[in-house]
Amino acid sequence: MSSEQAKSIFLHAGVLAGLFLLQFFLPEYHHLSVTRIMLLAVFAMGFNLLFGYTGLLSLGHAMFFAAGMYGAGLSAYHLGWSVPLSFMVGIACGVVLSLAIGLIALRTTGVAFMIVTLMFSQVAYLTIVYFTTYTRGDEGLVMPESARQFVLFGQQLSLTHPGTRYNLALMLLAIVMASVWLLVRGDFGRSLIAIRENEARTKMLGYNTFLIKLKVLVVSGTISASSGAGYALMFAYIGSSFATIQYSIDPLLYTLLGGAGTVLGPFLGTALMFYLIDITSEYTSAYLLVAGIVLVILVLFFPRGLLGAVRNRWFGWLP
Amino acid sequence: MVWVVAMTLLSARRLSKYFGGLRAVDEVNFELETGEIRAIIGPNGAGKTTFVSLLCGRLEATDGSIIFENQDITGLPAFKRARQGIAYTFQITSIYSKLSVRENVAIAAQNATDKSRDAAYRVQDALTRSGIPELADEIAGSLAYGHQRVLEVAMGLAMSPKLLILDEPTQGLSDMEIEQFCELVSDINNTATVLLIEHNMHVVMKLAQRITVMDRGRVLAEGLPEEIRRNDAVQAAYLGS
Repeated sequence: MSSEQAKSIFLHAGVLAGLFLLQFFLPEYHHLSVTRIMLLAVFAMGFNLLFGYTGLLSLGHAMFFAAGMYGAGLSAYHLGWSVPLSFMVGIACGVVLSLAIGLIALRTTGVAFMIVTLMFSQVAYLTIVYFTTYTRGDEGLVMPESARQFVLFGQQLSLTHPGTRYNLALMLLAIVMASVWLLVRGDFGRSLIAIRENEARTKMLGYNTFLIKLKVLVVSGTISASSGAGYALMFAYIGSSFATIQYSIDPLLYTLLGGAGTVLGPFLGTALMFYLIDITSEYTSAYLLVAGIVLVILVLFFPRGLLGAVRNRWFGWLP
Repeated sequence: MVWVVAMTLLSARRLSKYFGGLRAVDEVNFELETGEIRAIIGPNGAGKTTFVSLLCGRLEATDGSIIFENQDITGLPAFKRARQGIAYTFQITSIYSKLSVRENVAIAAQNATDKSRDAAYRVQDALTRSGIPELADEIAGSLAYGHQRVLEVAMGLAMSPKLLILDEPTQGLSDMEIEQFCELVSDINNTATVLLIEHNMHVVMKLAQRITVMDRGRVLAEGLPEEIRRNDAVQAAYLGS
């Protein structure tokens, strides 16, 4: 057991160390791509906690991403708050929204839960568009110069500098990855899997399944919001397109591709999907068709995603 | 364990459950003493499973009250009752079929009433007492049916319950498995009160210290095994008059 734990720590730390070293070799374009991938992977990891581990399929996670994005972006743009403060506002918005949604949506399960989250997410999108005076709706807002510089631990940092962005994104990814890793390995993670596998039985074994689901939904929504907040501040733009259904489906695709219910799966899935679309769109405008075909093949042959298949066949210890 | 003074562990007063016009459980009064093995018998549709479901909180009572260890638990949700020491094993095997046997028991052990020993010890203890320690790393769904039934009980055991409710535990088991099962229940009875729904009269007569007979949602008779065997009303309900 403990040797498995060592292997697992080694693997995850190795991935993070690899990403740190990668920045010194990547050409400029891919440097930026990997920054985006790391941020979106955080989003997918938040989603996976709910979907992969607890078995709750939300079709509205874009609202949590957007809560973080608009919480951070609007406070930086309208209130002129500093980057770290705005980032915290984004996260706080994620906590509040996921708690409110959880209290309502978790009264449902299965397909009803999918529809309720989808519906609320649509409400969030329309709210952004409705308050166009403040949000500029679809056109969006570009972050002011004041939100591009900040001081952290006595260091003057500029978000216009690619290296800064890369390492901040990596830091967020590392924190989230470590948190998820710790969470899913402990007693809490076991109770999530128990709910996914057989909720009725889990209740009879003394678990308050509603409270556990509420907790995990809040953690999931908050992680997704941290990704949205980071995205707004690092790329200096917020727009309502980030709250559309596409941004609810993306983390699902990333997670399915990489492996639902694995810690690294969402990251792997995000990277593969990102480059799959990136490369195919160079050759054809029907790049989404290619992405679709790849997904169909994956679901047919690797229903547990790439890392899920790896875990089943070779490495049972993979968390 | 010697029980010097018989104490009431659980009692139900005028407990009822109606499904529309159907009175599945109809004003049942019931007392269970600490340390006993009680069997509930009765024809199909007598309301046995509904009755124990009310006790463990799987179903909400329409009327009446349930007292467990001198506390009214009628309004408590199932998970709180489980934490107070009422464990229920399902009539239809309900295990985590994709997880290993050890994980199954570990999930159950996490909310054990008695946490004086650490979780790993409690898991191993439940596996050993149930006689399935060598199956710990098997996937639960791949076990033989008899072993799945035993795993159900092991999960109940891992909760260190005060009251273990077994709903038709021997259904579908072979004669040899049933003998082993009876030994297991006797062993469990050293630490817990057992409430057993059972059709197999051999098992009932072997294990039960008292028997409650239900018919059409009501208690038809209650008493020692030999009294029940001789009871005319019971014979009528079972054999038709």
